[in-house]
Amino acid sequence: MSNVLHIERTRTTPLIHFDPGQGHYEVSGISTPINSFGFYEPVRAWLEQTAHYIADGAVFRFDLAYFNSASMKALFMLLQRIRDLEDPGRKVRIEWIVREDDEFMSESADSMQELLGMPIHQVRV
Amino acid sequence: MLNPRRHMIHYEGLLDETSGQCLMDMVMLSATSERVMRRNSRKWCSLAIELIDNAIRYSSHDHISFYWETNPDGLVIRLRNSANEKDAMRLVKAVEKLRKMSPPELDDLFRCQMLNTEFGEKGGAGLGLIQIARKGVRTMEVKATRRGPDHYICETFIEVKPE
Repeated sequence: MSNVLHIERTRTTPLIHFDPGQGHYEVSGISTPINSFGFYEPVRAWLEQTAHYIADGAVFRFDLAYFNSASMKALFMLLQRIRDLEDPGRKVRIEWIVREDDEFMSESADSMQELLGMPIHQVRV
Repeated sequence: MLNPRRHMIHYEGLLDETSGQCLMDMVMLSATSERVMRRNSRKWCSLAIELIDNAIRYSSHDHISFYWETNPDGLVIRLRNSANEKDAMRLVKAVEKLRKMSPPELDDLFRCQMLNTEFGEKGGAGLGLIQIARKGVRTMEVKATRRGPDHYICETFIEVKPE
């Protein structure tokens, strides 16, 4: 059984590529699906089922151009699941790409970090 | 006379998930183009994205009118869409409620929606209007006009001044 989760990007949904073997965890693109919960739920389920394959020090990188508020909630639920991967033997890191002058992305990360209770590292590009 | 500091998009036509995405892309392009690029451009885009998203989700008819303008005085967005009575009244009441709330109250409501509530039957998270109100809009108005049995025209107007 392959442990890789790969979902191609579409006009309204981001690329998702989670590969524990390569230590690569990426969400990138646009996220404006009408059914955000339905889109992200299998990703959350994958994280739960595959948790034991995810190594200490895993970096989850979010590089989103923009998203709607329903996606923000669904992404937050995904971040909660990532946070819950942490235990005494495993630390994970969340990186949030923020482009120059993108206050929306920066403020979104700040808001979610406050609620998450875990650092969301903003990477300026 | 052309005003290079004024960018405008006026769209009248069908709105579904695909055309809505095209409209969002156009708004993003307009707001982040060199001539009008401002520190808050992307934040302004998010206002339009929420309105378009709401229109896709709640319109009872797939025809809308969308107007976006950035100029030296700020941003204006006008959206007209049809809705059933339940959704039209819900929109009017939500905007009335949000307009009376202070920034800390809006932040509390945002936290509550993020942490405690389920997604709605049409896939919404109940966050769109809250996010618009939290982003310091100067004016947020909505008017719902009855056009027939269970048929309303909703006109939403948003105005933002540059920070």
